[in-house]
Parts: sequence; structure tokens; C-alpha cells
Amino acid sequence: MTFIHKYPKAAKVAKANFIVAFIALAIGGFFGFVQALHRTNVFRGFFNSGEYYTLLTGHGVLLALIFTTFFIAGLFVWGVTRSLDREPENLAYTWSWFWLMTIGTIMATVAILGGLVPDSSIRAAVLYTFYPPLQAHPLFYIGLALVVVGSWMAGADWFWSYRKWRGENPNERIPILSFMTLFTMLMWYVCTIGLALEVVGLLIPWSLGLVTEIEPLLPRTLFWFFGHAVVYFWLLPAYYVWYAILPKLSGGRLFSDSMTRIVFIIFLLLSTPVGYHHQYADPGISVGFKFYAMASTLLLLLPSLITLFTVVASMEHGARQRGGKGYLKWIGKLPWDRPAFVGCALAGIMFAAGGFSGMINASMNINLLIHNTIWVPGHFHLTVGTAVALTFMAITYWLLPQLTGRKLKHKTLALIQPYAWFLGMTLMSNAMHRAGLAGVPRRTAEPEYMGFEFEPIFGTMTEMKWQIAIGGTILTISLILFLWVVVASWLAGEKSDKPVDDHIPEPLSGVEHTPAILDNMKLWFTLALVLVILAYAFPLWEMVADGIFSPGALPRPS
Amino acid sequence: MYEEKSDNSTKKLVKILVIVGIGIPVLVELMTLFNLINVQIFEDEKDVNSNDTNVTEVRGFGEGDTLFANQESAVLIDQLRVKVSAQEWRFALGITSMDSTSQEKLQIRVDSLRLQSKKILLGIDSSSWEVRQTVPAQIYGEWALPNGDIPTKLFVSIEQQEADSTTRVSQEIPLHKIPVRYNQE
Amino acid sequence: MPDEASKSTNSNESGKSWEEQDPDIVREVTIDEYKPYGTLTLTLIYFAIVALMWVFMYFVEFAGNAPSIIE
Repeated sequence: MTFIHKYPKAAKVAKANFIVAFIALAIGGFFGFVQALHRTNVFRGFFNSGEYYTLLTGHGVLLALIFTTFFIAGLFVWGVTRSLDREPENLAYTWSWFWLMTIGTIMATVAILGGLVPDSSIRAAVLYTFYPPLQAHPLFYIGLALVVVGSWMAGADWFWSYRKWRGENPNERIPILSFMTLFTMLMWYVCTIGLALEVVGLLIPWSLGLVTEIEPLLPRTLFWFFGHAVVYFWLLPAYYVWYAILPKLSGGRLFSDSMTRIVFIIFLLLSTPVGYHHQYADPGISVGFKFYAMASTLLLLLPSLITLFTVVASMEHGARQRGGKGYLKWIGKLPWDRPAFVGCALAGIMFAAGGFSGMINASMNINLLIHNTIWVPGHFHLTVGTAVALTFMAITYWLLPQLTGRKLKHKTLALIQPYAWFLGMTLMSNAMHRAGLAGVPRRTAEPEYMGFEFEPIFGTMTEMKWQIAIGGTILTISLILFLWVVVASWLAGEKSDKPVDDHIPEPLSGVEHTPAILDNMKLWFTLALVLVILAYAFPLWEMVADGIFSPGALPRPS
Repeated sequence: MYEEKSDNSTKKLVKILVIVGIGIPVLVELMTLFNLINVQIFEDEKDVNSNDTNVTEVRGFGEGDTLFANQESAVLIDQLRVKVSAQEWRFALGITSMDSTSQEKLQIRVDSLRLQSKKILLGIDSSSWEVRQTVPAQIYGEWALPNGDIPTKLFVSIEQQEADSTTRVSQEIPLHKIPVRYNQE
Repeated sequence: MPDEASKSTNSNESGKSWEEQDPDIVREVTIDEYKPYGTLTLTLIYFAIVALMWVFMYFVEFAGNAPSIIE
């Protein structure tokens, strides 16, 4: 018996979400490959440089928003169903949020891909941040709004299951898998307020022509109200995997239940009021608020460092149970021959490296050294592009057998895949960071200028260019391996009653040592709202008072 | 759980994967760290020096600089701006003579300007070229620029009328970075 | 407390812990005997790198005698 036999309805919902996620991954990944070759001028024959921005938008939206959201929905359906031991409360409702998100995705994708059709009036080359005055077809904004509304409904679905469960188990602690799901969704509700206000209040009326002018700073600020928390919306499900599943894959148990809960609470509190750290170079926001955002951002290092400790300690516990000894020798005893483990572990290492460049991005002074350079994509390909994406791919090797009741096929290819991803990403991201230090801009189809040469700190521009192109190619090969393993296992894997060991052992330091206040969702949600109001109320009020639809309003230097 | 125990071939594969998949990345990152520290801390002085010589070579004229300093009648650049508005980019230039006694016999002309895109704009084409003041001689002109383009060189000449003859001196003036200012209109 | 083990679809033989059923696991390490020295070592290495780069940043930001931000 595995998940699909016990909860066939939830398994179907989770699988449907995974299908959309993997289609988005395939298309978005291909666009990434084209970009890696195009902007390095290795090969520019796929599309012209004008279409590059359409591909860039497709890459960002399909991977960062669609792949992640659908995969997370599938993962959470699995976790909530399993940990509360109940199928979704009302399947018609569950499917309605799935289809709403899917229709929204199709609308947004059509709007983006329209840019590749000659003379098409449907375009959305507005990049992942869709800053005005870049304008997309209304289809794009409405589609994205539907995806967000669908995700709200999905969250409500899990809260619904939780309430029903609570009615039957009034004295139980929230099971850890559900706890992580619910806190991630609470954070999502807080941060998407900004996106909803931006898209519904400003961008949709503007793209429909109902208003002709729009103030640029307000939508940027609302976007980043959402835009940093969204990275934690991607990351927390990866943490969910690292905390709940990775210890078991390492052969051990989660080190501490209370640490896990504390980390999720800190993320709920601090994810949203840090958005200004994406706007350090924007005029019109006073330095004081930027400074507040910087301090909160650096505080956010704390839960990530707690995670570093707890996850590594859990893995070490596994290694010691497998016979590991010594200070560092135990690392060799970890199951480096199991794709699910290898993917999660390498993703974690990459995330630790991403922390280094993240600290530089977060610091107001040195951020300006690398602001808007290719350093920034170099950084987030370590975090969302590896810590999140590689974790999702790796855990698919463990989840898919539970959802389909079929064993994984091509285990050797599956094993090569995470190592290849790690190699490709190191090459690409390393060169992107270095090129950023030399001043190479991000989001540029042809970063070449007449009468001007970039001066790399060391090495040559040509060497960096090839490192990016080769890294991108290795990543593409790794992605193809992943998709191949998934499709083959899904369609032709050997059917089995127990295709994978899906048991999750209790934590070493269990929930009995966890203070009850950590489960108080109302308290933490209210605190999160208060922190957001402190960070955003005054600047937003100032911007609104400045005139919502008046682009002439002077950005005021502080 | 995987039923098959890792046999020898899997062990060998894992060894290769770890060396290639983790070894190369670690090597790349260590080399990067080494090079960064090496360049930043130990090659600092050499770098700064070589930059300095470059800077003096290409340094051009800017607002407040004196032209024709070696001539009898030197002139001063008192305005040098790119004015940006929603409609267009305009280059604004103002020149004043330094010496109020000789100004009546002095004529300042901007023959042409060369843009970053290597286009040449002629000085006489300017529609708004005006004489602001005669004592001291002061002229002011604006040129509409192709969007995003900036002048890099000016060709200016002055004509000095002496009792019996006219001396004409031309100078090629490479420009330093021109301040770009947003015009609210 | 909801016991994950009871929720698990794994057919647990009663009385036997998960560790005892897994052939890869040599011995069960309880919380009292577990001393995460390896984690301590790795964490110290991580902090050492951060500290090293922090010192390095002094040279980038201040000792280079060059403006890092050019207007």
C-alpha cells in the first residue's frame, strides 16, 4: 500500500498539478537554453534579439511562477492528505481551483507566446517583474490573477481539511507536514495582497485602456511587496522537503520538531516587510525604510542558518545510523547513490553558496556594486534555480512512485541528473556572478556596446561567455534526463504495491518538546500583518497621495 | 527502498559522478576565490596606476572649463547639458568670453558636433542659436539629438578681429561626461 | 500527538522501529547518545568562509581607495 492506494482522489489531484508543472518546466527550461546561447552570442539563430525578451518573460513566468506554484500545490495536497489522514473535503471544490489555475496559466502563456507570432497584437514581453510602463496584453495580467486566486482557493482547501481534522482531534498538535503547509500559505496570503492590488487595481484597468497613465513607482513597490515573499513561497516547500523527507532519505530522523516550527514562523513574520531591498536604487522611497528592510532581510538569515544546522544535523544522524564516524568522514556514509537524496543534498549545498551572494545583495551599500547586473540572475539561479528546482526534481523521484504506484525507471539516468545539474549550475552561475562584477547588465539580448569593453576583475570575457553557454547546455541535458525519467516511469514503470519506502519516522526531538504557542496561527498571522503595516503603510500612503494615475509625479530623492 | 544493493558498477559510477559533479564545481569556486583575493589585495596598486593614466588620456572638457587658453581671447564653457523631456533629447551649450574688453571684436562659432553614434551635427543648423549678451560675449545654442545619443566632441572656432586682419583659430574639443537633466514641462 | 508511523502506509511490524527494519542502518542512534560534532565542524567551516569574505569586503569597499559607485 502506498499513497495512491490509500488516497486515490488526492493522488489524482497531485498528479494533475505535477503534469502542468512539468510541462511548464519543459517549455521554460528550453527558453533558458536559448537565452544562454543567445546572450553569450554563441548561437543566435533560434530567435531574433527582439524576441529574446518574450523568451525571457516566458522563462521567468513559466518557471518561477507556474512550475513552482503547481508543483507546490501537488506537494501540499500530498502532505496535507497524508498527515491529516483525510482525502480533500470536496472534490468539486478541489478541482475548481486546479482548473482555475490551469486556465489562468494557459491565458498568460498564450499572451507571452503571442510575441513569437509575427504581427500578433497579443504580446507580453514585460519580463517576470512586469514593471510599467512595459505593458502586456490584458490576457497576461488576467491569467496571472486567476492563478493567484486559484492558489488562494487551494490554501483555503487545506485550511478546510485542517479545521475538519481539528474538530475530530481537538487536543492534538498540528502534524508537522500540515504545519509547514499552513504557515507557508499564511505567508502567501499576506504577500499576495500587494500583487492583487497591483494587478487588479492598476495593471488590468491600464492594459484594458480604462486609464491611460500610471505612476511607475507604486506598482513597482506593490510588486516587491509580493516579490520577495514569493521567493520564500518557492523556498519553504523546499525546506518542507529538507525537514520532513530528507532526514529519512539520509537514513535518520529530523533533529528537532520545534526548530522546524520556529523557522516557518520567522519566515511568516519577515518575508514580506523586506521588499524594499529590491528597490535600493529606486528614487522616491526614503533611505530609512530601505534601511528597515535591510535589517529585516539580514534577520532572515537567522532561520536559514537554523535550517542549515537542523538539516545538516538530521543528515549527520542518518549517516551515523548508517555507520558513519569522525568529524567529516560520516559524509561519505550518506547514500550518494540514491537520486532523491543526492538532489536534495546538492540543492542544500548550492543554497548555502547562494547565501554568500545573497548577503551582498541584501546589503544596501554593496548591492549598488551589482545592482541590475547579471550577478543577480547568477544569484537566484543558485536559490530558486537550484535549491528549489533541484529539490523539486529530486523529490519527484520519491513522490512519483507513491502517486502512480509505479517504480522509478532508469535509475542510473536519475542518479546522473542531479550531479549534472550541480555541475552545470556551478559553471553558469559562477560566470554570471563574475560577469556581473565586470558590469555586464542583466535582461539584455546583446550585451555588447560600441567603443566600450567590459573589464573583468580577472579572466576574460570570452572565457565567461563560454562558461555560461556550456553550463546552460549541461543544465539542459540534465533537464532532459529528468523529464525522460519522469515520463518513462509514469507511463511504463513497473506496477507495485510498495514502489518506494514512504515511511517518515518521528523526529528525534519530537513535538512533545515543542511549546504550544508555536501552533497559535492567529497570533503569528496578526504579528505578520503588524510588521507589514509598519514597513509599508507610510510609504504606500505617500505614493498614493502623490497621485495613483499620474506618471508626472516627481520621484523624490531622500 | 531500492531493493538492489549498490553493486560495483554503481559504486564506480558514483565515484565518477562525485569527482566530476562535485569536484569540478569545488575547484572552479576555489579558483575564483583565490583569483579575487589575489587581484584585489595583491595587485591593487598596479591596477589603480594603469587606470589613472587611462583616465587622463581620455579626459575631456566639461562645464566650467576654459577653451583657447593659450590664445589672447580665452572662452569659458558655462553650460553643457543634455536636457531630456518626454518628447526629445536636446543638447544645450553656452559659451562666454573671459575678457570683456576684447569681446566686440570676438566671434565664437560652433562649427559642428560629433555624436557618440559618429553622426555629425552642423553648428549653423541650430535653429535656436542666439546671442544672449554682448558684454561679455555670450552665446547659447540647442540641438535636437537623436534619442539616447550624446555629443562626444565639439569643433569650435573663434575669430578675433585685429586692426588690419582677422585671426581664426579652430579647436577640436573632446567632451567629458555630459550631465543629463530631466526637464519637467 | 499524531504518530506519523501510524499514518504511514508502510506495513510496520509492531514493536520494531523503522531503524531495525532498514537493512542499510547499522545501529539506532538515540537523541541522548547523538552528538552532532560533524554538524558543528561544517557550521564552523561555513562561518569561517563568511568571516573571510567579510574581511575581504573591507578591501573591496574601503582599502581600494577607489569609489565603488561612480555617479
